[in-house]
Formats: sequence, C-alpha cells, structure tokens
Amino acid sequence: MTPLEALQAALAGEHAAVYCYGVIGARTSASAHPDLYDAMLHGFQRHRRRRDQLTAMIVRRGAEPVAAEVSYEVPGPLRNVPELNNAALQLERRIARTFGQLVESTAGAERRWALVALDDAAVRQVEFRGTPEMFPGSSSSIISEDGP
Amino acid sequence: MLATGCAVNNPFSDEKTPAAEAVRELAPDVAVAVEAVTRIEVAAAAVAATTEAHPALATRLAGLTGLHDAHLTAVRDAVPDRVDVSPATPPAPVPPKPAVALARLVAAERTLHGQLTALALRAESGPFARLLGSMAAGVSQQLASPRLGVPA
Repeated sequence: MTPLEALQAALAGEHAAVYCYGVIGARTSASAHPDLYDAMLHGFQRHRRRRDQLTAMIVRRGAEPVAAEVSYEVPGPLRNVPELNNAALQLERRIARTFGQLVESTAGAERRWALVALDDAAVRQVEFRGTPEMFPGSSSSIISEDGP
Repeated sequence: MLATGCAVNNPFSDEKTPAAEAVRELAPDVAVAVEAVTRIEVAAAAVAATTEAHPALATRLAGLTGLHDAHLTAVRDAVPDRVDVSPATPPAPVPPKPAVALARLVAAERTLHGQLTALALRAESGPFARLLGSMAAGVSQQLASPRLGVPA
C-alpha cells in the first residue's frame, strides 16, 4: 500500500468512526451513564479532529481526500450499556488496525502521527472494557492476554 | 597473533558481543531489533524482580510479564546468535514498599514505551515498524488496564 493509499484508508476509517460515534453517542444517556456519555463524546471529538488532520495531510500531498459515505453500518446492537461499550470497542479495534497499516506504509512525520493515533486507539479499547492485547493494531491483534 | 574485535560477523568465533557494540556493525533493522530486545529484557527483568520482592503484586503484574514474553518471542529471532542481549547491569534494588515499587515499574514501562516508539520511527521496514508500534501500544494498554490499577 502506498503512503497516500494508507492515508486515504485511514481517512475513510475516520469518516466511519465519526458517523458511528454519533449514532452510538445518541443512544447513550448523559444522565444515567455520564462517564460512558463523556467517553462517547470525547471519542466523537477525537475522531473528528483526526479526520480533519488526515484531510489536511492528504491535501498537502496534492490529492483529493476521500469523501464520506452517506451512512455506515454500526458494529453490533445498541440496546444496553454493554452493547454500547462493545460497539465503541469494535470501532477502536478497527481504527487501530487502520493506523497500524498507516505506520507500516509511511515514514517520518506521517509515521509519527500514525504511532500516536495507534497508541490512543489502543488505550481507548481498554476504556471501553477491552482486554489488553499483545499486539494492538497489528493484523493479528485479536490475540489478547486471555488467548485468541 | 591475537585477533581482537567484534565477533558478531565472525563465523569462526563463539564469543558473544555486547549489544551496545554489536549494533554498530549490523544492518539498520537488525540493530533496531537488537535494541528492542535489549530494552524489553531490561523491563522484563525489572518486572520479575518486583514480582519476586512483592509476591502480592504478581496478579497485577501478570499482564506485563505475558506482554514482554510475547514481544521477546516476536523479535528475538531477528537478533544474531552472537549478540548478547542480556541486561548490561543488574536491575536496581526493588523498593521495600509495594506502592513505590509499582510506581517505579510504571515509570520504567513508560520509558520502554518511548523507546519502542522511537525504534518504530527508525525502522526501515514498514511491517517491522508496525510491529514495534503495536508493541508500544500494547505497553500503553497494560498501563491503562484496571488489572494493573495505575491511576490515570
């Protein structure tokens, strides 16, 4: 994958994350579950910021940033707190793998940016009750300390 | 006549060369692998020493132990046999108070995280950079894990 292709893939992933966090956040009660609501809100804001940064990085390369789709499939049902947590966890796992690909395909400042983004996505997985993994963001990152 | 020098590229020598010397003569990514293994070995030794001094912390530190083992397994094969990657100095004495010992370990893991990230930036191979980056992210996950119980 070329650096530009990896940047475009990461931007596409962020478009999806921003959309999905909007949907998941709208199903989260700010009064009943304020901590989870805050985590969703911060997730939405963080991914929106990353989307804008990736857009600028692609424009700097003289390319047209990939556009957002009309809608995206949200991972899993959203009927209760565990399902809301799980949906956000799946989102962060997906985007961590996208950032892992970005680390692999870039160098210098772009790789540095991808490393920070990968690290943050990995930490958010724990925030959404994910089990720590041995290699978060790798293509085989589903192997956790509790086994595959 | 006695021939001296680095044994890392000498097929007729059984001597092990300290990692700090060996990295000067190795291909760039092999040198990165040697440095990664050396750093992880230091962190793993610190975790082992802390666990031995404070058995009550063993459960909380089990995640770090497993993580270091997995990371060493992933990278060790890239290190030439003749390079000695064992820690150059023994681990510092473990503080007698568990909370202080844990805090010192957390600081050491943060250092390891920074070292792995720096090595990921240096790596010439993309897949190797990704591996190192994911190892650094794994350290961050452990530090954020409720099991370790370190305040954010």
